[in-house]
Amino acid sequence: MEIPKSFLGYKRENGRAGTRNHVIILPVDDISNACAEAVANNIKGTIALPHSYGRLQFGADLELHFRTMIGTGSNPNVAAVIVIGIEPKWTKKIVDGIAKTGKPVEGFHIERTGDIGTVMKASKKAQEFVMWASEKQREECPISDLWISVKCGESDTTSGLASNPTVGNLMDKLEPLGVHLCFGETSELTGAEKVCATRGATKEASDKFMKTWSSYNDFKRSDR
Amino acid sequence: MATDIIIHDQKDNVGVVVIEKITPKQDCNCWIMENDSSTNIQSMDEIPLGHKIAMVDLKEGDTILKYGHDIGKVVKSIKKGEHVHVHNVKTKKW
Repeated sequence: MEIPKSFLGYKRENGRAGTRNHVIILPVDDISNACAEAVANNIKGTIALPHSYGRLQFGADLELHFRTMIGTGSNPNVAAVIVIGIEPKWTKKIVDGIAKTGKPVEGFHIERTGDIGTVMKASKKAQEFVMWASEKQREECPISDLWISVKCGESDTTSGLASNPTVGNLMDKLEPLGVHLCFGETSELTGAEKVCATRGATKEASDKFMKTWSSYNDFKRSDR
Repeated sequence: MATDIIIHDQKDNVGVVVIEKITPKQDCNCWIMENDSSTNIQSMDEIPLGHKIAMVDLKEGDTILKYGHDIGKVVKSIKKGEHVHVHNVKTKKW
Protein backbone atom coordinates (compact mmCIF):
# COMPACT_ATOMS: atom_id res chain seq x y z
CA MET A 1 0.00 0.00 0.00
CA GLU A 2 1.22 3.47 -0.93
CA ILE A 3 1.66 5.75 2.09
CA PRO A 4 0.17 9.22 1.41
CA LYS A 5 2.66 12.10 1.26
CA SER A 6 0.34 14.48 3.08
CA PHE A 7 -2.61 14.65 5.44
CA LEU A 8 -5.35 17.16 6.16
CA GLY A 9 -4.50 18.85 9.43
CA TYR A 10 -5.13 21.97 11.45
CA LYS A 11 -2.10 24.26 11.23
CA ARG A 12 -1.18 25.81 14.57
CA GLU A 13 0.50 29.11 15.37
CA ASN A 14 3.83 27.46 16.24
CA GLY A 15 4.13 25.52 12.98
CA ARG A 16 2.83 22.23 14.32
CA ALA A 17 -0.21 20.52 12.82
CA GLY A 18 -3.05 18.71 14.57
CA THR A 19 -5.47 16.07 13.39
CA ARG A 20 -8.12 17.23 15.90
CA ASN A 21 -9.44 20.66 16.78
CA HIS A 22 -10.35 20.57 20.45
CA VAL A 23 -11.10 23.43 22.80
CA ILE A 24 -10.11 22.04 26.18
CA ILE A 25 -11.05 23.05 29.69
CA LEU A 26 -7.98 22.20 31.70
CA PRO A 27 -8.11 22.11 35.49
CA VAL A 28 -4.81 22.92 37.21
CA ASP A 29 -5.73 20.80 40.22
CA ASP A 30 -8.30 18.23 41.26
CA ILE A 31 -10.41 20.72 43.20
CA SER A 32 -11.04 22.64 39.97
CA ASN A 33 -12.36 19.55 38.18
CA ALA A 34 -16.01 20.26 38.97
CA CYS A 35 -15.69 23.81 37.66
CA ALA A 36 -14.01 22.65 34.45
CA GLU A 37 -16.66 20.00 33.90
CA ALA A 38 -19.42 22.56 34.45
CA VAL A 39 -17.91 24.80 31.76
CA ALA A 40 -17.65 21.85 29.35
CA ASN A 41 -21.27 21.05 30.09
CA ASN A 42 -22.30 24.63 29.34
CA ILE A 43 -20.38 25.04 26.12
CA LYS A 44 -20.84 22.22 23.63
CA GLY A 45 -17.77 21.46 21.58
CA THR A 46 -15.37 21.74 24.51
CA ILE A 47 -13.95 18.92 26.58
CA ALA A 48 -12.90 19.03 30.22
CA LEU A 49 -9.83 17.02 31.14
CA PRO A 50 -10.27 16.31 34.85
CA HIS A 51 -7.47 14.60 36.76
CA SER A 52 -6.48 13.91 40.34
CA TYR A 53 -3.26 15.93 40.61
CA GLY A 54 -2.06 19.45 41.36
CA ARG A 55 -2.20 19.84 45.12
CA LEU A 56 0.16 18.63 47.84
CA GLN A 57 2.85 18.05 45.26
CA PHE A 58 6.35 19.50 45.37
CA GLY A 59 9.82 19.24 43.81
CA ALA A 60 10.34 17.08 40.75
CA ASP A 61 6.86 15.63 41.11
CA LEU A 62 5.24 19.07 40.91
CA GLU A 63 7.47 20.09 37.99
CA LEU A 64 6.34 16.95 36.15
CA HIS A 65 2.73 17.89 36.82
CA PHE A 66 3.26 21.40 35.41
CA ARG A 67 5.02 20.01 32.34
CA THR A 68 2.21 17.51 31.79
CA MET A 69 -0.48 20.20 32.00
CA ILE A 70 1.46 22.60 29.77
CA GLY A 71 2.21 19.76 27.35
CA THR A 72 -1.46 18.80 27.19
CA GLY A 73 -2.52 22.37 26.42
CA SER A 74 0.32 22.78 23.90
CA ASN A 75 -0.67 19.66 21.94
CA PRO A 76 -1.48 20.68 18.34
CA ASN A 77 -4.73 18.72 18.50
CA VAL A 78 -5.86 21.50 20.83
CA ALA A 79 -6.99 24.76 19.21
CA ALA A 80 -7.52 26.80 22.38
CA VAL A 81 -7.40 26.30 26.13
CA ILE A 82 -9.32 27.45 29.19
CA VAL A 83 -7.23 26.87 32.31
CA ILE A 84 -9.02 26.78 35.66
CA GLY A 85 -7.17 26.61 38.97
CA ILE A 86 -7.98 27.20 42.60
CA GLU A 87 -5.58 30.16 42.89
CA PRO A 88 -3.90 32.59 40.46
CA LYS A 89 -0.22 31.68 40.75
CA TRP A 90 -0.11 28.11 39.52
CA THR A 91 -2.93 28.87 37.07
CA LYS A 92 -0.76 31.58 35.50
CA LYS A 93 2.18 29.20 35.31
CA ILE A 94 0.17 26.79 33.16
CA VAL A 95 -1.33 29.61 31.06
CA ASP A 96 2.10 31.15 30.40
CA GLY A 97 3.53 27.77 29.45
CA ILE A 98 0.77 27.06 26.94
CA ALA A 99 0.85 30.66 25.62
CA LYS A 100 4.36 30.01 24.24
CA THR A 101 2.71 28.04 21.42
CA GLY A 102 0.87 31.21 20.36
CA LYS A 103 -2.56 29.61 20.66
CA PRO A 104 -5.45 31.31 22.50
CA VAL A 105 -5.33 30.45 26.20
CA GLU A 106 -6.98 32.09 29.18
CA GLY A 107 -6.80 31.29 32.88
CA PHE A 108 -9.43 31.59 35.60
CA HIS A 109 -9.06 31.03 39.31
CA ILE A 110 -11.78 30.16 41.77
CA GLU A 111 -10.48 31.99 44.87
CA ARG A 112 -12.33 35.27 45.43
CA THR A 113 -14.67 34.57 42.50
CA GLY A 114 -16.34 31.40 43.70
CA ASP A 115 -17.09 28.39 41.61
CA ILE A 116 -20.32 29.70 40.05
CA GLY A 117 -18.73 33.03 39.13
CA THR A 118 -15.75 31.22 37.65
CA VAL A 119 -17.98 28.88 35.66
CA MET A 120 -19.78 31.92 34.23
CA LYS A 121 -16.63 33.84 33.29
CA ALA A 122 -14.85 30.78 31.91
CA SER A 123 -17.94 29.67 29.97
CA LYS A 124 -18.16 33.03 28.19
CA LYS A 125 -14.53 32.79 27.14
CA ALA A 126 -14.94 29.12 26.18
CA GLN A 127 -17.82 30.06 23.91
CA GLU A 128 -15.61 32.66 22.18
CA PHE A 129 -12.88 30.06 21.75
CA VAL A 130 -15.29 27.48 20.28
CA MET A 131 -16.65 30.01 17.79
CA TRP A 132 -13.11 30.92 16.78
CA ALA A 133 -11.92 27.30 16.57
CA SER A 134 -14.94 26.15 14.58
CA GLU A 135 -13.90 28.45 11.75
CA LYS A 136 -10.57 26.68 11.38
CA GLN A 137 -10.26 24.62 8.21
CA ARG A 138 -8.15 21.59 7.58
CA GLU A 139 -5.23 22.22 5.26
CA GLU A 140 -2.89 19.93 3.41
CA CYS A 141 0.20 19.26 5.55
CA PRO A 142 3.28 17.20 4.62
CA ILE A 143 3.33 13.76 6.26
CA SER A 144 6.51 14.84 8.09
CA ASP A 145 4.34 17.25 10.13
CA LEU A 146 2.59 14.27 11.65
CA TRP A 147 3.41 13.10 15.18
CA ILE A 148 2.24 9.70 16.28
CA SER A 149 2.40 8.45 19.84
CA VAL A 150 1.74 4.86 20.68
CA LYS A 151 0.50 3.85 24.07
CA CYS A 152 -0.34 0.51 25.55
CA GLY A 153 -4.05 0.29 26.29
CA GLU A 154 -3.96 -2.94 28.29
CA SER A 155 -2.30 -6.10 27.00
CA ASP A 156 -3.58 -9.59 26.40
CA THR A 157 -2.33 -12.64 24.53
CA THR A 158 -3.09 -11.08 21.18
CA SER A 159 -1.01 -7.92 21.82
CA GLY A 160 2.33 -9.58 21.23
CA LEU A 161 0.93 -11.78 18.49
CA ALA A 162 -0.70 -9.24 16.25
CA SER A 163 -1.14 -5.65 17.42
CA ASN A 164 2.40 -4.91 18.63
CA PRO A 165 4.13 -6.31 15.51
CA THR A 166 1.61 -4.45 13.34
CA VAL A 167 2.09 -1.11 15.12
CA GLY A 168 5.87 -1.63 15.04
CA ASN A 169 5.70 -2.36 11.33
CA LEU A 170 3.76 0.87 10.77
CA MET A 171 6.37 2.86 12.71
CA ASP A 172 9.16 1.28 10.68
CA LYS A 173 7.41 2.43 7.50
CA LEU A 174 6.63 5.96 8.71
CA GLU A 175 9.98 6.80 10.30
CA PRO A 176 11.88 7.19 6.98
CA LEU A 177 9.19 9.66 5.84
CA GLY A 178 10.10 12.01 8.68
CA VAL A 179 7.03 11.29 10.81
CA HIS A 180 7.75 11.98 14.51
CA LEU A 181 7.12 8.86 16.54
CA CYS A 182 6.83 8.64 20.31
CA PHE A 183 6.35 5.80 22.71
CA GLY A 184 6.78 5.29 26.40
CA GLU A 185 6.66 2.50 28.94
CA THR A 186 10.39 1.78 28.98
CA SER A 187 9.89 -0.87 31.67
CA GLU A 188 7.34 -2.72 29.55
CA LEU A 189 10.01 -3.29 26.91
CA THR A 190 11.73 -5.83 29.12
CA GLY A 191 12.72 -8.77 26.98
CA ALA A 192 13.20 -6.53 23.96
CA GLU A 193 15.44 -3.89 25.58
CA LYS A 194 18.52 -4.87 23.58
CA VAL A 195 16.56 -4.85 20.33
CA CYS A 196 15.33 -1.38 21.19
CA ALA A 197 18.78 -0.13 22.21
CA THR A 198 20.27 -1.12 18.84
CA ARG A 199 17.83 1.29 17.22
CA GLY A 200 19.14 4.42 18.90
CA ALA A 201 19.97 7.14 16.36
CA THR A 202 23.19 7.78 18.28
CA LYS A 203 25.20 5.82 20.81
CA GLU A 204 24.24 8.42 23.42
CA ALA A 205 20.56 7.81 22.74
CA SER A 206 21.01 4.05 23.08
CA ASP A 207 22.99 4.48 26.28
CA LYS A 208 20.39 6.81 27.73
CA PHE A 209 17.64 4.34 26.94
CA MET A 210 19.58 1.43 28.47
CA LYS A 211 20.35 3.49 31.57
CA THR A 212 16.64 4.11 32.15
CA TRP A 213 15.77 0.50 31.48
CA SER A 214 18.58 -0.80 33.72
CA SER A 215 17.61 1.41 36.63
CA TYR A 216 14.10 -0.05 36.47
CA ASN A 217 15.42 -3.58 36.11
CA ASP A 218 17.94 -3.21 38.95
CA PHE A 219 15.22 -1.75 41.15
CA LYS A 220 12.93 -4.68 40.44
CA ARG A 221 15.73 -7.20 40.92
CA SER A 222 16.71 -5.69 44.28
CA ASP A 223 13.10 -6.24 45.32
CA ARG A 224 13.48 -10.02 45.52
CA MET B 1 -7.63 -22.23 5.43
CA ALA B 2 -7.88 -20.95 8.99
CA THR B 3 -4.65 -20.26 10.79
CA ASP B 4 -3.93 -22.36 13.90
CA ILE B 5 -0.41 -21.10 14.56
CA ILE B 6 1.42 -17.84 13.84
CA ILE B 7 5.15 -17.79 13.16
CA HIS B 8 6.34 -14.18 13.24
CA ASP B 9 9.71 -14.47 11.53
CA GLN B 10 10.96 -16.97 8.96
CA LYS B 11 13.92 -17.73 11.27
CA ASP B 12 11.73 -18.62 14.27
CA ASN B 13 11.95 -22.17 15.59
CA VAL B 14 8.70 -21.81 17.53
CA GLY B 15 5.18 -20.80 16.57
CA VAL B 16 2.29 -19.50 18.69
CA VAL B 17 -1.13 -21.12 18.97
CA VAL B 18 -3.88 -18.68 17.96
CA ILE B 19 -6.91 -20.95 18.37
CA GLU B 20 -8.43 -21.92 21.75
CA LYS B 21 -6.18 -24.98 21.92
CA ILE B 22 -4.59 -27.56 19.70
CA THR B 23 -4.85 -31.23 20.56
CA PRO B 24 -2.25 -34.02 20.19
CA LYS B 25 -1.82 -35.29 16.61
CA GLN B 26 -3.68 -32.28 15.21
CA ASP B 27 -2.56 -31.16 11.75
CA CYS B 28 -2.10 -27.42 12.14
CA ASN B 29 -1.89 -24.64 9.58
CA CYS B 30 0.88 -22.16 10.29
CA TRP B 31 1.06 -18.65 8.88
CA ILE B 32 4.45 -16.94 8.65
CA MET B 33 3.83 -13.25 9.22
CA GLU B 34 7.18 -12.00 7.88
CA ASN B 35 6.59 -13.14 4.31
CA ASP B 36 2.91 -14.14 4.31
CA SER B 37 3.72 -17.76 3.57
CA SER B 38 2.30 -20.94 5.07
CA THR B 39 3.52 -24.22 6.41
CA ASN B 40 2.05 -26.95 8.56
CA ILE B 41 2.95 -29.10 11.52
CA GLN B 42 1.47 -31.99 13.48
CA SER B 43 1.26 -31.29 17.21
CA MET B 44 2.43 -33.77 19.86
CA ASP B 45 0.82 -32.11 22.89
CA GLU B 46 -2.27 -30.23 23.86
CA ILE B 47 -1.24 -26.56 23.64
CA PRO B 48 -3.48 -23.65 24.70
CA LEU B 49 -3.99 -20.27 23.05
CA GLY B 50 -0.95 -18.00 23.20
CA HIS B 51 1.48 -20.84 24.00
CA LYS B 52 4.38 -21.92 21.84
CA ILE B 53 4.97 -25.03 19.77
CA ALA B 54 8.38 -26.28 18.59
CA MET B 55 8.65 -26.15 14.81
CA VAL B 56 11.81 -28.31 14.84
CA ASP B 57 13.56 -30.74 17.20
CA LEU B 58 15.48 -28.76 19.81
CA LYS B 59 18.18 -29.96 22.16
CA GLU B 60 19.44 -28.65 25.48
CA GLY B 61 21.39 -25.42 25.05
CA ASP B 62 19.69 -24.49 21.76
CA THR B 63 18.42 -20.94 21.41
CA ILE B 64 14.71 -20.28 20.98
CA LEU B 65 14.04 -17.73 18.27
CA LYS B 66 10.77 -15.81 18.23
CA TYR B 67 10.15 -12.60 16.28
CA GLY B 68 13.60 -13.47 14.87
CA HIS B 69 15.12 -12.79 18.31
CA ASP B 70 16.74 -14.85 21.03
CA ILE B 71 14.13 -15.34 23.77
CA GLY B 72 15.95 -17.97 25.82
CA LYS B 73 17.64 -21.36 25.90
CA VAL B 74 16.34 -24.91 25.86
CA VAL B 75 16.85 -26.60 29.27
CA LYS B 76 15.16 -29.90 28.42
CA SER B 77 15.15 -31.33 24.89
CA ILE B 78 12.02 -30.62 22.89
CA LYS B 79 10.65 -32.58 19.93
CA LYS B 80 9.05 -30.97 16.91
CA GLY B 81 5.36 -30.40 17.72
CA GLU B 82 5.81 -30.28 21.49
CA HIS B 83 4.76 -27.55 23.89
CA VAL B 84 7.49 -24.95 24.51
CA HIS B 85 7.08 -23.31 27.90
CA VAL B 86 8.74 -22.66 31.27
CA HIS B 87 9.33 -26.39 31.85
CA ASN B 88 11.77 -26.62 28.94
CA VAL B 89 12.92 -23.04 28.22
CA LYS B 90 14.64 -20.47 30.40
CA THR B 91 15.75 -16.90 29.78
CA LYS B 92 19.48 -16.29 29.35
CA LYS B 93 19.26 -13.08 31.36
CA TRP B 94 19.19 -14.49 34.88
